[in-house]
This record gives sequence, structure tokens and C-alpha cells, in this order.
Amino acid sequence: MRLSKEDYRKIDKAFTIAYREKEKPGPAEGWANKVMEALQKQKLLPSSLSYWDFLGQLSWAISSVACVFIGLLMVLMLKIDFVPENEIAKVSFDQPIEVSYLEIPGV
Amino acid sequence: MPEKLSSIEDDEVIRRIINGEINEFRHLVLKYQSYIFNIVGSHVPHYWVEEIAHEVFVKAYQSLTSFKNQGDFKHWLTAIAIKTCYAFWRKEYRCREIPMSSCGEEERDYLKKIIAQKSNQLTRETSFQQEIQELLDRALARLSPGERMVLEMAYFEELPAKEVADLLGWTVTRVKVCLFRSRKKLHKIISQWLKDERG
Repeated sequence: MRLSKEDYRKIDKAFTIAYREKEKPGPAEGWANKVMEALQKQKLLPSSLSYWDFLGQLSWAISSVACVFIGLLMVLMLKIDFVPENEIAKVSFDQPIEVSYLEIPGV
Repeated sequence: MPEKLSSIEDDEVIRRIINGEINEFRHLVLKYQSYIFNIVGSHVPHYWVEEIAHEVFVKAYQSLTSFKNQGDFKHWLTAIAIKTCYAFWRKEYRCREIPMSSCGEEERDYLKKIIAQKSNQLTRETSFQQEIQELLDRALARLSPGERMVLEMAYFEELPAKEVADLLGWTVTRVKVCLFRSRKKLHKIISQWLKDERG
């Protein structure tokens, strides 16, 4: 069966009427209470953070981790008796002959 | 003017909710529940309407701070409802098998009856309205979620393409292309159903 444009138009019209006439259920009694109960469980309204607020909060969170990391690094440096290069250079300039690598602390 | 007044009232209620008066949200639920049920009821099966409408209000509440007087609350809520229905169909299509079988003899007869009728005889009083609705549901099930939503809004509800695009968060061009494709697809499905009779 080959359909003409008119046939399609009729089918479209019938479908449009059917779609518009579709029965739609209304809210049952107490439905709004259910919604409110669900919202009460969430308690706080999630705030929308601006970019800068978010960055501020993030840096606060990171700063505590950074402090712990710095502390650990300091302990580690003390443990291995770390001597910075500028101190080695200073010693070798002050006492160029006497100082050997074996005497340089930490080397 | 009353529309404008109502919008100002909504803004005031929203301001109070954001300030912590959660119970004020009840005013918005009661005010818009029928409207949202009507929208959701047009797009999803009736046994899902309550749940989807519930989801719409929860989503609206969760993103209320992002509303911040963006304009009309009703329009904003409508967009949430439409997007929730669209998300429902996307989820539904992922989880189910789309029936590929052709329609039965009975349904084919209804299609023939529609074609045989004069255009002005096709009214809401048509005796087999329920059957046409079932046929439409079967045909829509063969479209993609996007095609389905666009066809329903732009064609059956006759909303302007710009408004459909606005509600779905699409471009107008995408809506127009999708509408063209979905109508073509719908016609193809119907002609296939009628062709199956010979096979």
C-alpha cells in the first residue's frame, strides 16, 4: 500500500489529536508532602560556589596538607643530615686547602 | 500584570528558601505541581509521572541557588521538567529492547481506517482514539529519545523551534534538523507497517 501525502497528513492529524488527548494523571493527595519529606532529608540547600570561593576553599584544604608535607620534609632533612650546596661552597672557599670532600659534613 | 506579580512572589519565596527557610519550597510545589504533572504526563508513560515530577522538584530545589533571578521561575522549572523527561527516555532506551516487530493486523486496520476517513472527520471524538494512542506510542518507541522529544514538542504541541531549543538546551538548527528527521522516520515506520501486510 503506497501512501500519498494526504494519507500521511491524516495520520499526522490523528496522532496529534491522540497526543493532545492523552490522559495525564494529576498529583495525588499528599504528594507534595512526599516531596517535602525528601527535601527535608537533604536538609541544607547546596550552595552554589563562585570560582573564587571555590579556589579559596581549595587553597585552605591544600594548605593543611602542604604544612604536613613541609614538616615531614624537615624531619627527613635532619635525619639524613642534609647540607645545602652553598654551605659546602662557603667551607671550601674559606679553607681551600684543608678541606677535602671527606671533611665536608653530609658528603 | 498578574504573571509579573506572580514572578515577583516566586522571587521572594526563593530568596527565603535560600536563606534557610526550606519549608517555603512547599509553596512552589503546591503552586506548580499540576503544571509539572501536565508537562511530564505529556512525555512519559502515566505510571512514571509521579516519580519523574518528584525528581523535577528535587532537582529544582538542588539547583535553586543557581537560579538567582535568571528570569521567569516557571520557565526555568519547565526546562528542568523537559530535561528530566529527556533523561528518562535516554535511560529507558539504554535498558530496554526496542520492539522491532511490525504491528498486528488490528493496528493495521486502524491505520487504514484513519486513511479512509475524511480529514475533517478526524476529531477527538473518533471512536478508536485509545487505539491511535497505542499506535503512536509504538511508533514513538522506534525513535531516538531526542527525536521523540522534539517531535512531541515542536510538532504535536506546536512549540516554536526556538522555545524547544531553549528548553532542551540545544541549538535551533539542531532542533530543526531533528524535527525533519523524526517526521521522516515516523512516516517510514507507518509505511513499513502497512507494507508488512503484503509480506
